[in-house]
Amino acid sequence: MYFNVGKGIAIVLPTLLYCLLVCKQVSANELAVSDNNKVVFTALPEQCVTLRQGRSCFATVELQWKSPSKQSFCLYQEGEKKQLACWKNSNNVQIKIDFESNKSVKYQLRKEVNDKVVAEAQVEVSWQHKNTARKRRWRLF
Amino acid sequence: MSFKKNNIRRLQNQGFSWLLAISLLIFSALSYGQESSDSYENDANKPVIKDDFQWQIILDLSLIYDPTIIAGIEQEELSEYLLPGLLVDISYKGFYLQSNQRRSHVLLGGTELGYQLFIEDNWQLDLILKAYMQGYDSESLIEYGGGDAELLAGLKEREITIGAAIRYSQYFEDALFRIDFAYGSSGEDENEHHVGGLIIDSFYSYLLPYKNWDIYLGVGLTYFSQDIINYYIGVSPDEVLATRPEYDAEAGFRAQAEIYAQYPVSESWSFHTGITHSYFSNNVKESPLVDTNQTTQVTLGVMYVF
Repeated sequence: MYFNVGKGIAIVLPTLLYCLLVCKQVSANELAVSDNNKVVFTALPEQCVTLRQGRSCFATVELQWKSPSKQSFCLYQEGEKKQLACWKNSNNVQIKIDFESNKSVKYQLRKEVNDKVVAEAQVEVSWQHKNTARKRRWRLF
Repeated sequence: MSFKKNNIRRLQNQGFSWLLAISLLIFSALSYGQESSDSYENDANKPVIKDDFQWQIILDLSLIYDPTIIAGIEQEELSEYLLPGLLVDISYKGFYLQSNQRRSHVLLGGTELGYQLFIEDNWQLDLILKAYMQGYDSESLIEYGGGDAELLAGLKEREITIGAAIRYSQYFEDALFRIDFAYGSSGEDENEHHVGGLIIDSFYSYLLPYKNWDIYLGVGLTYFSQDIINYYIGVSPDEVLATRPEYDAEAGFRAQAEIYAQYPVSESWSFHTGITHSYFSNNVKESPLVDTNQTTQVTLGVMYVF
């Protein structure tokens, strides 16, 4: 009796969850800012969602840049002095980083020679529940 | 043989229609003639004040395995595992209607109507109106759900128990302890006397964040007075059958332990799952209407935040 119902559960829920996950991927539009040299810089996913406002959001973010010609760039997080990575004479680069932040983060691609920003990509942090006093308490039970 | 669980839920929902109506009346009256509320953001430097107007509606699409201690009530069809729920949260000037996301899966069945009496940084005192016990109606269950007629036929309807309570809540960094001292009002007994009694309901919940997951660990202990326990699992003289002896139940306890986890899939959708184990005091097993004093509830589903 329960066995048959269990099979139903086993089919319906994974299907629903798969749909949700796929939908999320599809809706993750690429965010790109390019300069005149047509450097395309993207961050995926562009959005990281937490349950409550103020919570750090965790994700593995894939940053990618493409250029028609070979370039030497460094990757920075806006507001940070230390570069995350640098590349010499490349035109198509992908890197995965562990994202952890409670607010949106902008990444910058800068020229290695003069530190000029050539492209930016942002990972937006959003949430389901606004962190008003009451809702902060609601979510505890 | 078994009872259909959907019939139980229908009964619970009927009991809540008036609660919803009262709530809407209160909030409508309070909102009339008021200017639209400012969005109030609380921070550590401001005193905690009563809530302004806030609302939230969540659609809960869950599968739930929900056994009960009453003999013969079982889930059979897939539809009996599916529980769409509407979780409504509204607050205004200290009044609130709130749903417990993790512990209610019946449409409006877990809703609480409350008023904030005192709010301090770490504790709060509220007046609460909520359901503390689910009812059941053996006649309709047997007729429509194929329940165990031999064991449960002829039992009077057990109505839902609505409790008026004073609630104390203590807030910790990532945890909450609350205790309700309630007067629970049930239906009428075999002599048409109103049944009511004391309910003391406590619960401790600890939030354990892990990456984007919210994981809640909870334990609860609830005391039900003799009148209320007897109303649900007692067998009165006019309900006695050859297979169902008269039974007077004593007061009882229910201990609960649960783990619940929630994960945001997008800004509107989240996945949630949880297991709650309930242990009732041994004496409830002595009732001919009860076949176990332990149940384990399992839920799995998604929620949509409007």
